[in-house]
Amino acid sequence: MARKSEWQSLIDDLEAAAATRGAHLTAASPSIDSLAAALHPELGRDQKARRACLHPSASARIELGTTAAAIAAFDDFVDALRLPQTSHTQVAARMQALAATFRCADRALVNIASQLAGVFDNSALNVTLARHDLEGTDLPTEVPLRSWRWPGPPQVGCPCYGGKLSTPPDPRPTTPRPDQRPAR
Amino acid sequence: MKSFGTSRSWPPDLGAELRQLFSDLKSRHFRGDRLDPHPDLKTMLDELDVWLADTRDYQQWLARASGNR
Repeated sequence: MARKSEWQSLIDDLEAAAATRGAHLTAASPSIDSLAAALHPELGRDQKARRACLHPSASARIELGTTAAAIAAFDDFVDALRLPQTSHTQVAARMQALAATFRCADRALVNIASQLAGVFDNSALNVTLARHDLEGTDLPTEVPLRSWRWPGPPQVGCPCYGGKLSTPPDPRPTTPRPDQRPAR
Repeated sequence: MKSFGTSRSWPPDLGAELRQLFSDLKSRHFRGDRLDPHPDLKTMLDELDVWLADTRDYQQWLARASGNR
């Protein structure tokens, strides 16, 4: 009736999730450790003890939702990547902890993932947008076009032709008309 | 195939790996892939709150059930 095994399973899952934190995030979220220490399989029998755990649970959620926690989680993520012996599983765990800090702040890491990927790719557009978001710098009024490579030549009116509405030369060989054929 | 827990044999540099991981995160989200083996901290705290907020007194039920025997 006290659902001892279910409580133990819940505690194991919480401890596994808490283990995804690195050193920085562990220091930034001490309430999770105090919460994990207060949990035990006999909580199903003890209503007062259950109620006493609600406060550290709320504190843990608040701590994880702070900007400092997101920065700490990102530092842990980078620290893990710096070591070549870090396994893929551990890298995934650190990213999961980073995503959890975003979710606790009612945000989603996936929403800024492409922008972050662009910044780490040193993309001029993404770096400019990030600087605009972080430092309030001006956005560029004109985005320079790169030279085309794929899927083919630019179409009529493309600024690559100097902005003129000119037709690109047709590369196909043309068959001369009968009146243009050379006389024999 | 790499076994679980092996070292990463291809870290070209930190920026390239970060770029790849964040790109993968976005594409996995669009594909609906869930590669995380365990629920994350937010999910577990939500689950725990439901269990902690249970106001039923199981001890009293146990005492009543044993008294009826």
